[in-house]
Amino acid sequence: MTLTNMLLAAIAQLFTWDCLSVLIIGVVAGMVVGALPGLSASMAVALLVPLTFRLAPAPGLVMLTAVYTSAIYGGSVTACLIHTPGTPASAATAMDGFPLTKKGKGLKAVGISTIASMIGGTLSALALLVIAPQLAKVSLWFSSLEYFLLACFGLTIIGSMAGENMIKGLLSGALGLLFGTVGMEVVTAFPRFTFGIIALESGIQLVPAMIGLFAISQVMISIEELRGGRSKILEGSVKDLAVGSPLPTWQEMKQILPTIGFSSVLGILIGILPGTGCDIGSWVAYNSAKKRSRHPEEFGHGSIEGIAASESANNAVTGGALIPMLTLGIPGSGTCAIMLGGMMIQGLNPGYELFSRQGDITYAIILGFLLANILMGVLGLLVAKYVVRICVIPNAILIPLIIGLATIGAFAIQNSVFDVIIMLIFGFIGYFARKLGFATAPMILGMILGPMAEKNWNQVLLICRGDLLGYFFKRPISIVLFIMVLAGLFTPVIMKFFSRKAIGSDEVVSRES
Amino acid sequence: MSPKARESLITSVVLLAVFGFLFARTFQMPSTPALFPRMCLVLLILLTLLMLCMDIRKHGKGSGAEGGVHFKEISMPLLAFLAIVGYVVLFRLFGYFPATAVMLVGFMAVLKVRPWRLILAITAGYSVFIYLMFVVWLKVSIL
Repeated sequence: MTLTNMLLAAIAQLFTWDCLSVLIIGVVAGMVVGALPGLSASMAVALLVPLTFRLAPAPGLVMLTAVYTSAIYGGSVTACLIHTPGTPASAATAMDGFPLTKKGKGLKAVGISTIASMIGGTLSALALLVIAPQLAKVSLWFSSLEYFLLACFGLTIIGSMAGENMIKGLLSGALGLLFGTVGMEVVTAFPRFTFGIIALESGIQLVPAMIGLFAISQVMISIEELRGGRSKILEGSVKDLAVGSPLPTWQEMKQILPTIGFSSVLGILIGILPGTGCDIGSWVAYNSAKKRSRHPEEFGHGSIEGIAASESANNAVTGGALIPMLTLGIPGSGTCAIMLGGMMIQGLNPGYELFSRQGDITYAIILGFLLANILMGVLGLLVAKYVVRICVIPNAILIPLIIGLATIGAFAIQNSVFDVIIMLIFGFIGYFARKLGFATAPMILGMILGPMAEKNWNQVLLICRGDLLGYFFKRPISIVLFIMVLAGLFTPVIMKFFSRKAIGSDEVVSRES
Repeated sequence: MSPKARESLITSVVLLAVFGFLFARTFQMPSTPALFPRMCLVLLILLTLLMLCMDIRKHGKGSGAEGGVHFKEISMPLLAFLAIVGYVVLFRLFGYFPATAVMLVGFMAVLKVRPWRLILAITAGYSVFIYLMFVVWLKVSIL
């Protein structure tokens, strides 16, 4: 199939009632979940993955990418209006969004963040469309050794997901690797750690485990907060928050467009690098915009450039992070790791085939992602002031609704109560992991990449016939990948350094003023 | 010993016991399938020991009451977890919709959502939404 034919087939798949309806559901659901502080994009995607099994691959994955990008945007609404970033990616936005709201320009702040998010996301979708097929061709040169090294490279992003404690993050990732060994081993079909339970022979189902780790653990955390007296996110009234017009003037547009363009490119590049994420992208872009601005003194006091920089960058990261995920199977972020699980269960394996034999589906997903970003912008401008109202929904109502959704989600994959039990077990593990300071995203990454690493390692041992080093040095691409693994180990440290530098200089500006 | 160091010690002991047990189980496996789990378990044991050493060095000498996980703090979440387990049992026995109705009403009532007609409206609205989405649209048999 030629590229034109694939694109035409993709458009035909995308513009169907099924696909467009789930696209709209995904955008709205993402915005709502993203706007709720505490509920992350990862949780939204984890809860919606089971829905995608019953859908064809294209609508299913379109919905997940729509949720991903709009959840990152949704976080900015509450960041601007109530100084509470819905997701960590919007923390930089709150620096200028909320001061603008305090000046009585709440809707202007939301409007700029919406336009910046839309442009950033759309540019990243175009980058995905252009770069990903070329990068996928590289995967044709890969043998088992390269796939093994690729899995190792993917595992290096644990460093960026580790949270405050690197050792605990690594422990969490290694635990994920161990969970990935449960079930029948690929070569010998020997059941490992199944304890006689037949349902475990096919391994631990990824989706119930993800729902447990992200949703059930969040329910338990929310119950704890409820006991601590926090009954809802916003205790006051939302009536006076969103006043004015959301659309910027022509003069303001001229001021922010260069910032949006530059920050979007920066966001895409940061997204492509495994081991980074939307939060790092937004901080780096914010700092860079401040350095290049003619009015750096306005940053931290309601600068529209500040909002535009951080929001365009964090949404640009989403498309950037999808590039290594679709082409090489390396999830660029925790949310991408969950999406990768959803993709693989749909029978879509990252690599060249995704852009050749399954090109119609893949291009439909990419075009759907592009459309989701545009739709997110339009819907955002129309409904942003209403989205903030969900912050007054009491946790006492949200908690049981999440339990119900999580349970049906875990059950619906295989109509199996055993999967619901897996969800409960992982919910319990996830709660204590979070209480004790262990990040949960590395566990998922370990569960996905562990079996890939083991399978390919076993194949390498058979192929190399005892001369592993000789085989390794005969393959230049393996050497490149090995260097990338080493580089991947240090990328998070370097990016965190730049991110901290950006945060640090903002604090200095705030103190000086 | 500070509460934080005690917390780390207890966590490490529990983790080491579990990893030790699983490591012993790998000796019941043939060598090929046992290799990767053993590698993971050795890594886990080393990381746990490293975490313990670092936490004791960092928090070992403190004696403050702050820090650490207290039972009082986790008692409500644990009760909620037990309630979710009860809900799954009901789901297994009576199906999704009756069990979910009981769970929604029960949780909202205990968490002091009022008035009662709001609880009933949310329960009915949620059930209709799930019925339309999962049973009608996605054809999941949960009845």
